[in-house]
Amino acid sequence: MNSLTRFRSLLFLLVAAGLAALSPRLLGKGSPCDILIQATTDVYGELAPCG
Amino acid sequence: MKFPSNFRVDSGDFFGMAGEQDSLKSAFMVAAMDKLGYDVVTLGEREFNYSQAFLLDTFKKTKIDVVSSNLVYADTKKPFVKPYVIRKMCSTRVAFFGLIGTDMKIRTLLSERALEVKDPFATAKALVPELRKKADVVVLLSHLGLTESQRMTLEVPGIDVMVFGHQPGLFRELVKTNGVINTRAGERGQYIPGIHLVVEDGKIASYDGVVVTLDDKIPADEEMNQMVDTFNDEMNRRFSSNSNASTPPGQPAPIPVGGDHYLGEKNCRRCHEAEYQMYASQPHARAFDTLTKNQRDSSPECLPCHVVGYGQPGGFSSKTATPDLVNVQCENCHGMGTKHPGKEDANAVVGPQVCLTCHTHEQNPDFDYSEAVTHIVHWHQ
Repeated sequence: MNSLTRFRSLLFLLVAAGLAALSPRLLGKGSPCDILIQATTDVYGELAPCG
Repeated sequence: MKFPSNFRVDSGDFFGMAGEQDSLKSAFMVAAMDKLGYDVVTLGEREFNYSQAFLLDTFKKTKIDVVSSNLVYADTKKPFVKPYVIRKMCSTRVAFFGLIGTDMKIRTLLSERALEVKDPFATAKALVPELRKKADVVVLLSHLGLTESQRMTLEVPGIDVMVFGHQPGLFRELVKTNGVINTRAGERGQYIPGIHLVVEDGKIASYDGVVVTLDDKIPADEEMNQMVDTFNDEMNRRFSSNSNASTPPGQPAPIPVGGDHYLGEKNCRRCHEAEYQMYASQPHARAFDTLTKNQRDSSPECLPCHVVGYGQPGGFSSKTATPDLVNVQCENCHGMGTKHPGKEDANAVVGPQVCLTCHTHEQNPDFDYSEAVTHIVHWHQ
């Protein structure tokens, strides 16, 4: 294995390791996500009042 | 706090009962929900009160997803609408699915394909594990009623959040039952429960929430107010032209030959002048003004409680054809004049049950009979 090939292999390993380390963040894992679910039911009567 | 992932959902029964006015209002209700940014709804039995085509067409004009996991066509067993949807926001995948109870009466027209409600428990047991693989949070929009919904939390693991529907009622705080965060949203859009989830590493790390009461402290949305006013004005014009079409303007409605019918206050006054004078200064004698002021004086759902005998023999047909039958008059509470036999008339004394036919909880939530009756005294005490 010549030095250029060794360098390429090392570079590939470094990039792969970096991506693996970052993957949870890239996938959105690790950072909390705030979700708000607002719910209703039986809403029809809201339009009922005649005055 | 601003939430990047704000989902608005409804667990069913947003359509009215029957008739042209109800169907128009139902379509408007869906348009308003779309304008308000609703994301996902499930179906209740009321949504079938008109037709399947009406229901599906109404939602085609919106961005709202309709889900029902156990409602299928009886012949092919294919879903009537989407069984579930997965919305991804803020790196979290949220699955919404809906269930309807097997005891719900789904109205089907003769010309329509029959629908079948599959067992909700078997459906959920098969579906929830699949959703767990595809989503971080699983939300059930339950149109099963309270008891069956609670049973669902016991029998089907894997549901994170449940929104109750079908039976009116309100949980003033979020409740956790058998590991499922659940809420009951009351009715008529008077309350908006908000469930705040913090999702970390694909799991709910914590939750809290608040039930907002939409009372006078919450400022009205001017754009929505305008939308409702425009709709009500259009409805009034529509029904005004409908009612005037059958009877030429200024012509009285035909009085039926034989049979009982309404007579109007002029006839009552002949013998009950003293009572009439007291009544004439009271709110019932101006009941039609309220509708005129609010542009609802041709609305079929409002007229029965603001005129005499709407749609009944000798009763009000339109303000041009029967102008003497506007307002709440003697016969609204005491019955048709032609049924008035004499001094022993059983309808002379009116009890609270008569008042409550119009002063319903929906129209007058604060109505107190014993207090209200003091405003309509027109008899010698």
